[in-house]
Amino acid sequence: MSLSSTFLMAACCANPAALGSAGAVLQAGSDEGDSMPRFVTRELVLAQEEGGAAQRVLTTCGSLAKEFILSVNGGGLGLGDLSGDGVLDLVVVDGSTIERVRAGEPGLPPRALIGDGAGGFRRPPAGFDMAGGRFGMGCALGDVDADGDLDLVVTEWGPDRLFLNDDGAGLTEHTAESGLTGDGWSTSAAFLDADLDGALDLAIGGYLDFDLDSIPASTEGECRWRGLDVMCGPEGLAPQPDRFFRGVGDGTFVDASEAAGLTAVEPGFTLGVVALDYDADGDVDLYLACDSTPNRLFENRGDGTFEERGARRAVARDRNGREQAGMGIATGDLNGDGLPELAVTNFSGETHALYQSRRTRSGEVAFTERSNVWRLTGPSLSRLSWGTTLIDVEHDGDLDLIVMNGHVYPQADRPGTDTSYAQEDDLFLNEGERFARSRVSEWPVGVSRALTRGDLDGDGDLDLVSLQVEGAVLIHESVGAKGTWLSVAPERGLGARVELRFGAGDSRTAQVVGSAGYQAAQPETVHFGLGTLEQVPQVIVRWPGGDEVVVREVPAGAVLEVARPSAEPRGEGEESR
Amino acid sequence: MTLSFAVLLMLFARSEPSALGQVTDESPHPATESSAALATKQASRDALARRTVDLPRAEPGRWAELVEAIGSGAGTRGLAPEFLGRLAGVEESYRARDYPGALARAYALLETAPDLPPALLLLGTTHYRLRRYEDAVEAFDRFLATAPREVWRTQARGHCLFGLGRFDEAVEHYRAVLELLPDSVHARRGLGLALYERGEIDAATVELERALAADADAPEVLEALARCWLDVGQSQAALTLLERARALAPHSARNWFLTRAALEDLGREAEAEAVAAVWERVDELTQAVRAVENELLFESDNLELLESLAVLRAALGDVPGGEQALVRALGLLPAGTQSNALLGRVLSATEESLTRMPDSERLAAWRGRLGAALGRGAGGE
Repeated sequence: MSLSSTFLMAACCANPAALGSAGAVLQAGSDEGDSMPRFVTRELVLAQEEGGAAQRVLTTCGSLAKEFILSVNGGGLGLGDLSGDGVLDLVVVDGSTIERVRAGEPGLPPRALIGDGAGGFRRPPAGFDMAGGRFGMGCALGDVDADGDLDLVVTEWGPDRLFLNDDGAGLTEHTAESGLTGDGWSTSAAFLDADLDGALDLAIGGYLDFDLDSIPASTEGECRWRGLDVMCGPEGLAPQPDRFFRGVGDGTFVDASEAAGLTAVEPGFTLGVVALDYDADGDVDLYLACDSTPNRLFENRGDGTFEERGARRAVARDRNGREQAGMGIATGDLNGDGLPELAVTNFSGETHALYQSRRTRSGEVAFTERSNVWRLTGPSLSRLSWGTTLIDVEHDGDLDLIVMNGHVYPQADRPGTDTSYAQEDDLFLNEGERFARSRVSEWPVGVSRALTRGDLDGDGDLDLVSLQVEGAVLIHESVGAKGTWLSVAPERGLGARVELRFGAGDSRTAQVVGSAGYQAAQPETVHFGLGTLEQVPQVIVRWPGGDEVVVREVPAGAVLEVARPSAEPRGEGEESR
Repeated sequence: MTLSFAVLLMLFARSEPSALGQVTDESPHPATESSAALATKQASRDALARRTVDLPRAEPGRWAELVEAIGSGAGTRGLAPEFLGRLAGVEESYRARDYPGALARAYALLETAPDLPPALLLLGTTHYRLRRYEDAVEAFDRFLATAPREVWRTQARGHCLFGLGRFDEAVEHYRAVLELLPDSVHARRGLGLALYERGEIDAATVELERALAADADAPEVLEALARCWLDVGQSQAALTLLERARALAPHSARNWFLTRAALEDLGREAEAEAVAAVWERVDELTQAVRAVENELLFESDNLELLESLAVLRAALGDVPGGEQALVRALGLLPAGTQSNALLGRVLSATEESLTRMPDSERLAAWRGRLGAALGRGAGGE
């Protein structure tokens, strides 16, 4: 079906912030980018309220000494409009302390923070208060009960949790009724409609069996890295299976891990999860980045069941066949062929992997790992990397890569490691099939983990939110965009492919991906930098299952909200926003 | 005593004889420091906690005469006997693969003889072995600051720059080495690999082909070249190279991985599946070998690790590696200990490997030798 559909234009002026105010921040070397700052970073501090003090938003993850692997992953982040006011809000998933775990006390609660539309956040109304689970990790956002608002799943070392949104007034825990099962260690999660029934399904990455009483602490000298005593794992510990929950559509799920095929393969140490239609065949697949085990690509057979094809598609390992320690995943069409590339961040001593897709003569999609061609290998060897995203930072029409870095071992600061605990976060600017590295901003080096992105201040460019382990939540305000832009928000759009068509053979494509790749969720929109273009001749939105909408002559500098033709009728009084 | 720098040449087993001649010394003075004293675990731990950059510097020209002598082929003649003995001690630890011990001795020597060129070279090489590349580069840079004409001795500096991801500098360094040693396969291969990591596939192919012209039996070069061909869609050419490499080193996991990829590209699915089965086993064993070797870097006298390494390499079908580990393990067995148990385990692993690996001739020969050793009942001792 091809429609020139009704759509809403949320017009918004492109308002590039002042450029060049923060000075040069670059390293020497031939692969370095230019000196113009692209982001200005600040710590997330909740505004002072009447009678109260301003409040830093800090996170906790086990202990500073990192004696156990439980202490290293950091918490999670989620960006989405929870309150229904059209502005992005933020979820910060917090962990716990080893002492609380030993005492059997609940972990620290996840926090929902309400966006002010200008890049700041404030404390939410009481309805958004949440209790702590056992030890929070990541989160996913999606409308699981089809009532038009965003609900929240929090992954945990412990039972995962579901919070249903009360029409923007708050989040209420519904874990007990949700059908979510399991009591292991979950990391990243992604919503998708795998079986095209209109209800969101949920994929959750499983990490490893962790028992605080049986795993030696780093101080016991059982586990070594580069001759140093460090925390144990993941090698030597048992990986946990990934899980798949079939959504019923009313806020409940049915555990379909086995039926969907996720347990048909040996489990790995999954850290990153994204749901995307990698082969553009109209259904949504799953790609999982795994720590010290091969990454997995679960290809949707078209009926919501999956077949693992990571090795066959050459996205499981590095160029030499070695397993890497996969952490985060970024997706985006770097070469303009309509198929997404997959970027995976890895351990120090390993390189980022950039799996570039191509259509074979037989029509299948195959990948080639091309981090060398894109000049990612050198800059990534000393990094231990986590959250990552591919966005057009400069609005010049190509995708740039952002990577958050920080080691898992505090011992990395000792001599002879060729790396460090705190590390710079990297911005790789696209210079045409080649990246040039620079720093994300002038903010001091830290130990970063999760990353998400969204337009926090409504100026049309994508800002970043990142999380430091045992530290602050950082807001990175984009100040480097010079060109025009267009954002597209397909209704109920997870997995939708958006194509901008400029002329014969000239198009660009992006997919709506809700998972930000590592323990984080991002808004269900796609964003394009347009360079000097003031208008896009054609915008084509294709939803999983075949719905298609064509919108013509779309002006730049706007958020294009596109109604889904086959969207379920909403309840009385509800409207598409 | 001869301070021959043979230890450095040993690192590059395929290296050409030096165009500049070896650095030799005929000093009769033995090592003056007790091996036991310097090789204590505490000293080694302390050495691992040090950084090369913190070492004292020599005043300019301090070693000019020595460098001149080395450059002219006169070697370390004229160096104080105390230093010669201590240099020999560093080399002794290095040869024994006691790398932390070698670091301890080298650091101690360089405290009293700052920037002593042969000591810096040994320090850099030891760091390279320990994969402490930043420290290695610092040591090599200090060496080159003192003896800039001796760049040919620092091929490992290129490997370290490569390991640090500093590919531009690695390319520059390999080219400097190749100016003096144009037939060096290791430098040529390093240059090819560094170019490859810069994404310059065509240039990498040229250099790797030149390396192959210098040594047609270098499996690592064959594999690297095959990877280049795979990247540009020449899967049949890659497959031919991989088959040649596999005849030389059938235990290479990378080879089996790339072979599978080439076969898949060529649409030879059934063969690819068969290769994948071999690759999975080889890969699993290779990972185990790598883990043991990483531990051995810091515990070279750990008999249990060496025994594991010998068995794993035998299971992998890696005859040279298995033999080497077995010899090391046997050398550590306490006096009077029968080695039959160890030999039996290695033999068993070899026999299992014979049933799985295609390169049976070499393995069968080794099995024969192991069996004979066991048959003598004394484990070949």
